[in-house]
Amino acid sequence: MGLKDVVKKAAFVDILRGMSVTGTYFVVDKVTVEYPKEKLQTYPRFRGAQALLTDPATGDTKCVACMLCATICPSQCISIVGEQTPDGRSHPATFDLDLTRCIFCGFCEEVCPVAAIVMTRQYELATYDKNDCLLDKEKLIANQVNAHKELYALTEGAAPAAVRPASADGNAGSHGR
Amino acid sequence: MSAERPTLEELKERKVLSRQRVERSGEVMTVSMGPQHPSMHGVYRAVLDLDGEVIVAVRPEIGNLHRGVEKLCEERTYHQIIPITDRLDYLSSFVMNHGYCEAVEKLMGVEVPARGRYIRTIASELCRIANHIMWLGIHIMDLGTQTFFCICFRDREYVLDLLEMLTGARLTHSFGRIGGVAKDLPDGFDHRCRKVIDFLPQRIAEYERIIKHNRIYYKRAKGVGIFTSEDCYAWRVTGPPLRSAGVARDLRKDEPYSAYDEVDFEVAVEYQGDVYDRFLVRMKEIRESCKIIRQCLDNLPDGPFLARDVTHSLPLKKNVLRDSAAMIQDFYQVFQGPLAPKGEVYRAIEAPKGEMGVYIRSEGGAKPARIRFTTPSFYHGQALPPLVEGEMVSDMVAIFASIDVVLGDCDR
Amino acid sequence: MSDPIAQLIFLIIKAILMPVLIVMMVAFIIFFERKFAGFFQGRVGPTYLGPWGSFQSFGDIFKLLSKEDLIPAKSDKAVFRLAPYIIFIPAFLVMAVMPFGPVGGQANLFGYRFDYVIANFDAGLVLFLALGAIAVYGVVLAGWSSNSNFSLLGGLRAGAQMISYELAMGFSVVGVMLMANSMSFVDIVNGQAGDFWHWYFIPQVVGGLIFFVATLAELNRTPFDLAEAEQELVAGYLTEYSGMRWGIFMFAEYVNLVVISGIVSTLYFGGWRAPLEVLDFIPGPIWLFIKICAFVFLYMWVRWTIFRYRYNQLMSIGWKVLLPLSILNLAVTAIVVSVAG
Repeated sequence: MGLKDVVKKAAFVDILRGMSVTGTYFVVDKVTVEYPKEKLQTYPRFRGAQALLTDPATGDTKCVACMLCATICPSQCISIVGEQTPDGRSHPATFDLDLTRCIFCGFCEEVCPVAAIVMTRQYELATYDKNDCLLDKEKLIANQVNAHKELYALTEGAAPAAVRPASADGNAGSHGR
Repeated sequence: MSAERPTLEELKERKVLSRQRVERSGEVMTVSMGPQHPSMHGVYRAVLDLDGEVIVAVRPEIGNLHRGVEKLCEERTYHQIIPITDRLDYLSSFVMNHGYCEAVEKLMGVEVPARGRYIRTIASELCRIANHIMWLGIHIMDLGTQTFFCICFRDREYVLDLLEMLTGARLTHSFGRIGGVAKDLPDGFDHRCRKVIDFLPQRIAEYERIIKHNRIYYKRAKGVGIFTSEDCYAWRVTGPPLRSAGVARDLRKDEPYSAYDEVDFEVAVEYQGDVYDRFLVRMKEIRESCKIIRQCLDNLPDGPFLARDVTHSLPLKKNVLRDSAAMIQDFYQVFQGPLAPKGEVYRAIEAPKGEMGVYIRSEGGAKPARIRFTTPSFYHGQALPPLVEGEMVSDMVAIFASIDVVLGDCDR
Repeated sequence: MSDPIAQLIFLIIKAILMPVLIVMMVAFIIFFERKFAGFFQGRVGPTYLGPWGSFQSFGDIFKLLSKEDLIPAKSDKAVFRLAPYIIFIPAFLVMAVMPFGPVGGQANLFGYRFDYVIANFDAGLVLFLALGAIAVYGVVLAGWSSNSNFSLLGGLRAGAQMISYELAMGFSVVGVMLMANSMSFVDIVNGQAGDFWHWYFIPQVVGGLIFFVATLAELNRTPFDLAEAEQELVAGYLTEYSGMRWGIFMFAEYVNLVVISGIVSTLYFGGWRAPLEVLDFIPGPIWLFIKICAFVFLYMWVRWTIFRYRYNQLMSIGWKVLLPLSILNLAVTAIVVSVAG
């Protein structure tokens, strides 16, 4: 170890260098985002809680109870009971999504053929009451205010929602494989 | 970069001191580090026999985070397994997806289009950078200061932001699909990614400047936890610990997949096999990853990012909404699943922590008969005895941090 | 009112005010530690309670008071209860001998002589070293009485570390003692009269540096905080303490911090003296306060930058580097003082 190294060691050069770095951080702007006063905006593709979009033409949800989302869901958190509306469309009588089982993978959104179920940007899902996590059809439809424009744009010019899956019985069963 | 290249015998000689300490030990005190411990990365338990400060014996216990992933996979179609692989090494989720998709594509004979391969490479390398930066923060925190932990996490945020922009989630990406990736690069990603990878090497240089020559780090990391290449082969230790022992094995070069044979990068190799060298290897890997991403962005081919394989991959959503053929493919893939031929396949990729392999045995059908994930942390977590016996308790923490064990990876 | 009675009244006032002031200061210093920890790490610290989060310490105290008082079943209960106080009390005692203003006739209050020190003790320096040694008992007894492997390891480590560094500390302050020709803090400060180049940190630069490093070990702060190394031993000798007992340990640590900052500024940086004679109109206690705050900041800065040494490296630094250097410093000081007169 040469003289230069000895002097550097005695003068604590490496330690002072580290201290200069932390000293700089002391005075520059801090990166903290003071949640809940300030909130970060998530990106368009962010996968938050789900929502069911309504078709402006019919006023009802676009969902046709095809069971694709319930089937693909890796944690089986979606239960759908389908029925026929008076005007011959297929739609879900009940649509239950259990957020406590959901792993937010986005597969339900990806496979939906009518772009009815979408993942919104809502991530503040903590609650004191477990029932708030068991989303039924009304809550899911109400949640579409949290969906964002990119998803609406996705569905413009799409095929009409009245596409029925080729199932033997008229009514599709509940969730299942 | 260490100037000397010691031979295997020289490295083994340096461990003589540790062996002597073990042989000279007297009455031992048994201490259980974990499973709840501020520095055991997850719920890992190491039962130590201590003679004063010296560790005489260590008995690692894993399995506290076992979630039965491989069993879960047997009851799900190949598409549904993708989010499960996210949760293996949750710090670099996309790499797990990548490995699994490579294995499935090999089984089913699906060809991934060029753009898909490049996007997979970009996302994998971003995960590698995020993993190594987080490793650095945790390693330095285990040595004593929280400041670098916060600084490293702040830099990791840039990478996680990019990953959120690309995949939709910061940690559990679920972005890989059989035949490619889920979505294309969004608008503005190219510009933003370039900004981040231009900025990151300067940060790495700053970390190296502060830590590499710091007298305390030198004392705590140089010559500590030497793992020779022989030990690595015996205990199936791969990845940065193997490369720091002088073996230039990197699956991205030796068995290239995705776009790795079309980009130019170096394998980071050091020769001393100690904690210091593992730090150097990982810092170099971050720089090489930035190089890879830049080359991928420069040479990104046009075209589809997901194979149009009707029997094996999911269709693009915009096609499903407009085209009935794609809708039929959608229904087929969800209700029937991708049918795999009978047979078995093994494919390994270079995860940030080591070599991650996927073995799939299929009896025909849409669900695998057996999947086995050979994850690097499973072996690294059990390789603790030769590394740590004879060292001191403080060294154990440093060594354990340097071999980078994550319990999700280890216990599956 | 005769002079002795006035002095008695002043003594009572000082003896009550001093601990109260220190306790208030410590409450805010704990807050500043967390705030500055945040700043050094690029984040804001506590911001919620009070303006800029300044009442965080009081919130912490209320929280600690509300916790259950857990004493491990197989522990030595009497010693377990006693140990925090063995550390807590000596720290305050040192403040009794440290001057915070002019002593010996220059200051007056209502016409009576007012000494800015609680006890003008002839051997204040020795008292400081002795009380530091008593603190070691508290640490070791805390570790031992908890009846837990981690605590024992931590307590023994801390005890050995503190004893080793006390030697280096003692030898380095003997240099100051030689220069001031007295062991009393009052005389040491009076010996630094004049502008800041008369202060002892210039001739005793090596001794001062050794003293600073040794006090880092005494205070169990990084880079020598092996005893509380969270990553290795959960919390070392503090593992089994919860609630307000743990609060008292933390409090004692920060009282020690304030006291030792005061000692450093008294021994090497002029104590209550102003750096330039023209600034004499600002009273002594204010200068001492400023210097204490500066050193506390320096201790915090060092803590949040450096990482800790391994145990055997720590001991070898204490015995093989600091001790010989401090003896060398002492020898050189002795020669220079006797030759220069």
